[in-house]
Amino acid sequence: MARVREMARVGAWPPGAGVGTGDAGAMAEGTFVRIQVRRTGEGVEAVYKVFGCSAAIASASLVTEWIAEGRTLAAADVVTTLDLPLDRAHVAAMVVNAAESALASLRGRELIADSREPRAESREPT
Amino acid sequence: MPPQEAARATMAGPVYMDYHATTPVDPRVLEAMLPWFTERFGNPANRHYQQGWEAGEAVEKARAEVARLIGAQAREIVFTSGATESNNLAIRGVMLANRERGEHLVTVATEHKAVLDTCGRLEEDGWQVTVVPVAADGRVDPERLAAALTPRTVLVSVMAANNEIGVVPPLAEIGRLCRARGVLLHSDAVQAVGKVPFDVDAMHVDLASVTAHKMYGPKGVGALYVRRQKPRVAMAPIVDGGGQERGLRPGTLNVPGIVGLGAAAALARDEAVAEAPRLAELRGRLWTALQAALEGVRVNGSLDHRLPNNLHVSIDGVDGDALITSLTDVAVSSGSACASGRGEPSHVLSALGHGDARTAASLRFGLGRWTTAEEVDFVAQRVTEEVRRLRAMAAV
Ligand SMILES: Cc1ncc(COP(=O)(O)O)c(C=O)c1O
Repeated sequence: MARVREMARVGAWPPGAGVGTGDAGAMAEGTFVRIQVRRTGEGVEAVYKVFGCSAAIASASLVTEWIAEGRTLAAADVVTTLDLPLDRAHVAAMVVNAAESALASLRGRELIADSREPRAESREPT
Repeated sequence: MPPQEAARATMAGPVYMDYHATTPVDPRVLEAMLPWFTERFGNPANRHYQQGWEAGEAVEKARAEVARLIGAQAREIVFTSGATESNNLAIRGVMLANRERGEHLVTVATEHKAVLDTCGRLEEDGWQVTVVPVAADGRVDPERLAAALTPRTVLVSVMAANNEIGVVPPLAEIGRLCRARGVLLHSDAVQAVGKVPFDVDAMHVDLASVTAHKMYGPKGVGALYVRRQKPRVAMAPIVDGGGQERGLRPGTLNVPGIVGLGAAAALARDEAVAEAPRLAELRGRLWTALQAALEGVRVNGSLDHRLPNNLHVSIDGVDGDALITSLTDVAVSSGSACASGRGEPSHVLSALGHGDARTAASLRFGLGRWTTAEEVDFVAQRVTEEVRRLRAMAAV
């Protein structure tokens, strides 16, 4: 559980056009995770904020690492990689959900940005 | 090297601040025990030759030391394998032997599992159990306990100090009211002996459990005090065999362990008076440091009615499991069952009405014979650092 003590990707970016944000859980319920993603040239980088047990913290650390590596995310892989007890599987799933909504929100924002981009033809004088 | 320093030097690993869980064996205790493994190996049940009667004498000397520590007579001490067995023997033994007097027993919500689960098992087998709640400060109200007594109540079991929150109940008052109602009082005194005054007559206690490994003795040996006069407690054994310990606890005696318990009891009696204020001061130092450094820290249970070596706190905005996992260089216990994955508060914190285990971490600090001011400062600093780090990690 060395990941519990790791701070490498802990952080937050101000929400904006190039940033996708995904939340899961609620602090009052004992687990909350926010994952944010943005493009870096060809790739994607991710940061996280997390409140919860060591399984939640370690999952957030691992999943943000996998995002940067371009790996597909699956809760089952998180559970096996971190060797989590089965009753913590839902925590890994929560973190993967947050990551997936962060990536979806990034793609959504990019689509909106694309559609707002003035088209070449529209610049032609009418 | 003086024994204290020798003991310190052998304590490797994280800074140990979990003396309620167990204690290292005092080197003086170990020294007393060693001959009884090898050259003095006799069975005290064999009285007609030297090896046997030597062992018998050593056991009787230990019995006298344990008795002296709690203000009892030597013949009122029964050796056991520890406090779990002592609690079982006390509760089952008394209820079994007093069936005609009644089938009702009373205990308290914050007792150790060795008491609560024993009572629970008896309930399954047809006995009646009342579990009295505690107030928000962790103390049981004697009036409330008195109200639970019926003409069929045989036994009340109230611990002398709580193993999690260190809270000390008004035991003498409870003892007086039990005595007045003709009800026997058992006390799990594991955490109290050697730390706060515990005298079976002053407390009006009829049965008391102790264990060596919480007072710098070895693991796997303990004792049960059973009052023999005014009143004489009627007891039945819970295991059968060769009739040792007046038939109450048959089985060949653990001579080295018993010698260790006796030596630990003698040291506790000699040193407790000086140790308590030293520990209380160190505990105060820890509490002051944590309060100064961190917002949202509170003590669980009464700070005034508490073992001198205990501090139990809840810290807002941190998960208990995350905090314990982060404190790799400090050996303390978490007050919640997070580590087992459920994130539920312990039955003791629940009994205090704490419903915030999901958003607060609780930590139990247990100070002991070898705790130093430097260790206290280190632990306070490390807890502060990790709480700040985890809070920053969670802040959105
Ligand atoms: C209050 C209390 N009672 C009973 C026990 C059990 O003692 P033992 O480990 O000797 O069985 C403990 C220790 O875990 C304790 O703290």
